[in-house]
Amino acid sequence: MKSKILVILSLMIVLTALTGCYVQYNTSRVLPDATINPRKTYYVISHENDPRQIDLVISKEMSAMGLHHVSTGPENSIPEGTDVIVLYEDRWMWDMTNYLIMLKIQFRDASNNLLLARGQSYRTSLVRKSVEGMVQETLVGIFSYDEKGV
Amino acid sequence: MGRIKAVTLLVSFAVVIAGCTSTYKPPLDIHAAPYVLPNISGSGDPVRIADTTDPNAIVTSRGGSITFNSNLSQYSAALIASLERELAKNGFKISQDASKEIDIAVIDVEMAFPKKFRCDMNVRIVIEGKVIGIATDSEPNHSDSKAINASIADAVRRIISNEEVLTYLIR
Repeated sequence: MKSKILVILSLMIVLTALTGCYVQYNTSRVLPDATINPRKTYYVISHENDPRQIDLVISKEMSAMGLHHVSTGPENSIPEGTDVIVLYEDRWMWDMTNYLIMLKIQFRDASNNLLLARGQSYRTSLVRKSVEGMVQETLVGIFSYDEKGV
Repeated sequence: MGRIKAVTLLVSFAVVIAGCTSTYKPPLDIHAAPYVLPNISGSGDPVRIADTTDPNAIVTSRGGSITFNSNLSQYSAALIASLERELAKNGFKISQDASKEIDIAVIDVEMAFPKKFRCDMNVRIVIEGKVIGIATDSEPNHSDSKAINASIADAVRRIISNEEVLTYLIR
């Protein structure tokens, strides 16, 4: 009897530990009436303290996905005529090596700061991906959004 | 312990830790203070705050292992109740019959989990046809409901300290 309880408790602990290591989701939403199309001009705002230059990765992936008018730079240098500004937030964790646990990307109307679309990719250590993989996953989530929510 | 009982217990436990759903409804008495307003107390004509949030919109997002189904009109009700209270506290007259109107809609709520829960809320304000987008940037919290309340308080602070909103209010 005692040994069975111990086995079950051990299984619970293992299950809890594994679940903690394995959380992965990708959420996105494009707001009603918002459009993201190749005719618009996009500006990815870079972070001052981002040695990985994720803005460049986002810009490259956006171009690869068919948005041809994409540039990047600091917030105070938004080019005139920009239609959409693209913001990102990267969160890192340490588990043997540093890895990107969360990436959020937002598309905002440059004229009034209104949210047009957003995507979030979250991957814990066991299912980690490269920056490129996370950027791609987040953008694909936004561009293939079909009001499914999560 | 019977085998069936043990399996049931394990399966239930797995379901619980694998994730659950939250449909938290923010309260109507969220305090937005502290914030700093210029000395404009009591000025301006009465104003009406109109809720233009889509009443049927329920937005789904994830924060860690919890799925959040956010009813946007519940968020806007909490936001507007707090905003009206703060405006009245600062001497502004709120009236449902006022010709001066500020349209407010909560257009998106997204939970995030950068170590703690954080609620990112987006609000659309329309003043005489001019659209203003407001995005919150509130403190994360270990409690998801406290994170949501903090986001609403942050939205209120950002709205009442927005230059265009203030200019319209004191006109």
